[in-house]
Amino acid sequence: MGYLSSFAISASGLTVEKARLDATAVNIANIHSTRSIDGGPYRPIRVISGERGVSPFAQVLDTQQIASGGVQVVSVSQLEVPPRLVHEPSHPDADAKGFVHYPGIDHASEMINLITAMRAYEANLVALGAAKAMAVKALEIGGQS
Amino acid sequence: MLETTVSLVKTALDSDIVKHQVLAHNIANANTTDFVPYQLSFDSRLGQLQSKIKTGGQIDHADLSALFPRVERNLSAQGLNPKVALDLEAAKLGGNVLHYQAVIRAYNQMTSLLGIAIHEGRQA
Amino acid sequence: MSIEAIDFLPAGKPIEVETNPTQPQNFEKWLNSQLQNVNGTLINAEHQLQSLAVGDVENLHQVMIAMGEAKFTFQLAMQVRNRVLEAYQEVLRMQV
Repeated sequence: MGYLSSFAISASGLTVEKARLDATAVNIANIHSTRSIDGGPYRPIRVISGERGVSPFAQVLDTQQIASGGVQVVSVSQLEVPPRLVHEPSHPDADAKGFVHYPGIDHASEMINLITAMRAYEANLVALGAAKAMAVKALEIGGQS
Repeated sequence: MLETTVSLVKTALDSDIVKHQVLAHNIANANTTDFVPYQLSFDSRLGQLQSKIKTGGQIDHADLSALFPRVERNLSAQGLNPKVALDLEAAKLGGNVLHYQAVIRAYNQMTSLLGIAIHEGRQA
Repeated sequence: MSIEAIDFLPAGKPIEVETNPTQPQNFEKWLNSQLQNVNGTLINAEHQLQSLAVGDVENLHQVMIAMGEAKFTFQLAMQVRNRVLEAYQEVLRMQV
């Protein structure tokens, strides 16, 4: 539906940023998880997003193409970060040398990701509001006296 | 002259929609790594169209295409981080919405004026 | 700040009233010039709309004011025309 394409673009942005927020929430929740499903400490995840509807290499955009634009989640990848080693010999998951392997999640960068995702989410909301304001005004054509 | 005005209004509104979609696409991809944002640019044909209107010259269909922006990648944004300035794109959105709404309102005023002529000043 | 009482207007200074010259005016000429005025406002309004569409306006209020001006001058002209027609038809109805 051509007239809804502006909404679809911003909706896709909202979806992706929400996914990013969720990923950050999962990372922070697992910041002390020493046992992941595959064994070993938890590895932080990142949402990888890519352009939707438009080729990432398209230099000049045909104005027809942009209607199918927006963003999509390409993958949710685990980061290969070295674990944080803490000397806790009494811990059940301590290794032979008495070190516990905690996930190598940097709290500060997770917070930065959170704020970046939040700001982008808000900006997408603004774009959605703008599309709505334009659509409402268009409906008023020919209606007033 | 009325036909010209209506074509101008239609084209202006169409191009505002395209501008919105490009800005919305940039905002949606603000956190996409290696994303190269699109930028909107106008060439000299827009200036020519504007001066034609000022001087009351004849406007044809070719002139109207000047209202549509050229949409191309902003390659100079590649080194920047963040690649998309959310605040700037949102500000452009606001200006665009205002133009769209203003053109529609003024167009409505004009058509209601024609309505007065058609209805000979009588209400309904 | 002291508040002063309202002073009386100086007596003997009547307000000047603009008196029209008593020569008969050419109605047709006057009507034509008024219609030209109205037409001018209509053309200006359409022109303003075109300028707005191409983004060549300094501010929005100039467009809106031009629109409003065109609208009410046209409405006034329309009402004048209706009254004149009514009067003409009334004259036509008069029995000889």
